[in-house]
Amino acid sequence: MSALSQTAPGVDAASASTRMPRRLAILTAITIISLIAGLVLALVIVRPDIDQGNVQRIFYIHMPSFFGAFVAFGGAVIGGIGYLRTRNLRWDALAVAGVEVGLVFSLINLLTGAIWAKPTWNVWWTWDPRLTSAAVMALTYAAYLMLRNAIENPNQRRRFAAIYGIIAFATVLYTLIIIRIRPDTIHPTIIGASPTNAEGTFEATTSTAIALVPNLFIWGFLLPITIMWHRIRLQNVLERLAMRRAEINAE
Amino acid sequence: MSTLTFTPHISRAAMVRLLVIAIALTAALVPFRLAHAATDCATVTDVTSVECETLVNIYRENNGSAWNNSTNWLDDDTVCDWYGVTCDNGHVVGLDLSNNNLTGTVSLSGIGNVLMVNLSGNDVVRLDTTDYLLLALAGVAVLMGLLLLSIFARLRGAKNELRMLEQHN
Repeated sequence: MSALSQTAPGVDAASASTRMPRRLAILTAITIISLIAGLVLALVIVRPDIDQGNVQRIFYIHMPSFFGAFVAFGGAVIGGIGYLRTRNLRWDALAVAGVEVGLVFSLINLLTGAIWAKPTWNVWWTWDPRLTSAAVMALTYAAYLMLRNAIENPNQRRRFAAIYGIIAFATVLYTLIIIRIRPDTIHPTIIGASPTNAEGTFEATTSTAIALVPNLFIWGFLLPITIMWHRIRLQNVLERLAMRRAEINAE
Repeated sequence: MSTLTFTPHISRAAMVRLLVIAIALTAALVPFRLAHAATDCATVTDVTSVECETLVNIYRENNGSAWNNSTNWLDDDTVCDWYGVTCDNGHVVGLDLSNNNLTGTVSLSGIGNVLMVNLSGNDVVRLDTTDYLLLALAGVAVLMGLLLLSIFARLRGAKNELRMLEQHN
């Protein structure tokens, strides 16, 4: 018992409580209502793009989901640094939650982008610099989860994962800035000037902003934070479960 | 011996009415015939007949006769010569009808190889991309559903096991 409990600071009765905190319940309700409102704005209220038609509405999820991934992966970096400094399991829970949630948001970003590309570029996928960097980013974080599962020693697993999660954030930053530094990408930029080869750009009007700004907040902040909080609760329960198993085995 | 002859009697007024109806019908059909006469998509060879029909429909449903530039549209069977149409290897690959006074709806569902469409500067809406939007929404729902299911199913399982271990104690 003692060996494991020494390696598990941060998993106290409060953090590992199996009851959903009231604040999380309220946040979840707000997120669900906001998500519905955001979808109504994007799918019903705003008119379809004059050139691309209804498929342009994908943009209101596609771009915000990347920022959702950015926030979640950013959480993984904070969690990783926090764990390496304090060895407190709460930081490790934040890191793993950030990676799992960020990975799903980046997959949503890739999927919606591919579906938008088909009627606009006439291909599901092309090895464009931006698309390639986004795919590398997703694969890098998928490898994080494999790394976690591959290391048996809990301390070593958390330490390696923390370091990997911090380094992996370079792929997020590279994906974020690549459309600004690579003029040969065909990926459009909506905010600011598009690259000269960009195909499928559309005018960002007031109408676009009405749907984009709320969805950017919902998909880029509210939704990842809420899901990460639930994932952290799961991690706390799993850690507490591991401790109990070790205690019983020691007896 | 008298000869029996039959002379149908049609009044002058009835003949005038018939003549007016015939002229009206002909006048109504002339533009329709003109629109179809020059382009027969069944005999078009430079693109597929489906692609040809799609373009003809775009012309008809977007007030083609009022376009700023409709050079060669429906005038001949060489679709690739029509204004704004770009072809490659027997297919329509581009359509640039920007600022051309199109009004209505444009469906490109019959053109599968089109690389880039430019309909800006017109009062039109493309309607053929709704399926892609629905596909994207379904994909998002599946991915998000899997994430939430994974979290809550594991949470439920872990809680149950923890409860059992605490009871065991």
